[in-house]
Amino acid sequence: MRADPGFDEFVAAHSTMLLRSAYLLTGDRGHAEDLLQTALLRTLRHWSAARQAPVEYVRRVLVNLSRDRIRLLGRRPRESPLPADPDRLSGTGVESYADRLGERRRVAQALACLPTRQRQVVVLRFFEDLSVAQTADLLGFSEGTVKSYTSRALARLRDLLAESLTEREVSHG
Amino acid sequence: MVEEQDEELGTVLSARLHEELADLTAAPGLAATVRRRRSRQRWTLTGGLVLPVVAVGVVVALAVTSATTGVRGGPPRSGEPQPHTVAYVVARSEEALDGTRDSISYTVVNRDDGSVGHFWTDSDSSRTLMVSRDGPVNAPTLAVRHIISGGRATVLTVDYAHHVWWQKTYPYTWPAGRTPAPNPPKSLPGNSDDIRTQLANGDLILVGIEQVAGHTAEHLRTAHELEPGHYMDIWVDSTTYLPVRMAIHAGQTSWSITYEWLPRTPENLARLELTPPAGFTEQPAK
Repeated sequence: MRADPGFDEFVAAHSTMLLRSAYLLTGDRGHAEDLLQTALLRTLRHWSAARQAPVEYVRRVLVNLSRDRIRLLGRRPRESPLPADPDRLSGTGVESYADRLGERRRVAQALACLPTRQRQVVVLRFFEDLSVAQTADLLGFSEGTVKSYTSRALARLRDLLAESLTEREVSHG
Repeated sequence: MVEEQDEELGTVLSARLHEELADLTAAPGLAATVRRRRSRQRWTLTGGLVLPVVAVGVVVALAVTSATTGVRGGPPRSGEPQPHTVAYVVARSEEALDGTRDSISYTVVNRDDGSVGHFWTDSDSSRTLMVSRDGPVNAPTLAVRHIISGGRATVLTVDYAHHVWWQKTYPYTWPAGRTPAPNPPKSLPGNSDDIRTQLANGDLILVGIEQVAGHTAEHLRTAHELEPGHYMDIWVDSTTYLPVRMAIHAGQTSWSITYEWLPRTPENLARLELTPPAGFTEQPAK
């Protein structure tokens, strides 16, 4: 099979946006890259069919792959953070770097706290800007279910982000 | 009304998310990387179907090569380093760190003011012991030993410059559900959990394969600068996947941490002993 330049053009044009979606779905840069590569590989294998609507094709694969990954992680116990150490040793500075990076992505981090389906709905509705109908079709839910997940997710995000959003932005219903 | 407020919040979140992720970009050459993976899969499939005997021979040859050279296996390529994803390297490194539970970690911190710190950490099921020495390893200016056991931390400090020493003990409560050992406090450098945290949360990209501290190592770097000039590098050994070095860059300041994982030999365990020299004066704990 000869290489189709259309695939390369598609990747060049859309991979960054798809990577960002994968990041929001997984909450992890490395896994997002891995997921995107795998999704693009599947798309390339079925390029003759996927080329009609490649973004939609990759998006669907990403959503499915991320759900599988989250299920897998859900089986692993979570670790709680360590308490402050009264005799903290200075001079390494290692421990704060990732923490500070997380601070800068406050909304993305809050999103990672949501249950899988709520997170998917928020990413698709508000980051990918899909309609309720498109989101329902992609996730295999009814439109009512999408609305219900959306409502619950936003209520949770209001609480999680109460300190970082302005009063008007976070106004409760 | 509620739906309107939801839509408003959705719009705000959308804007915030796009802003937060504005500097997150896909790696250049991604299409080519995917095509290479596709080619390898097709090659493997074809070889497996058409020439099973040859394929078995190739696998055996690769296994023998790996066993004799210590180099990991995989389809042969003309000297090209095997392209990995960050997730793959991080997962392998986490596995490797799991295997260091029975080792003493030895880390050397080189600060940009020229000072050097040496840290040895050892943990078993009942206690964590950690000793740091500032200055030349055989003529330290300050040494500190932490012993964490039974819900308490005991800290002995020996100040060689002023010929004094002091000791204090304080309650150290581990979070519920967490096994006290072998997870020393987060601020102690060199413990595997801390490195694991950096690997898991560091938002990393793969820079390439480099020679570092005598190791062929995969070089990972934080994908984004927190501020201009603020970033972190981690190198993990290409064969064992154990961390080799970490470097922190914070504007004009930088320091590096080099890791070794030592067996629990009497000689290495002796590094964890600290006794105030005769003639030194005990002082009240600071």
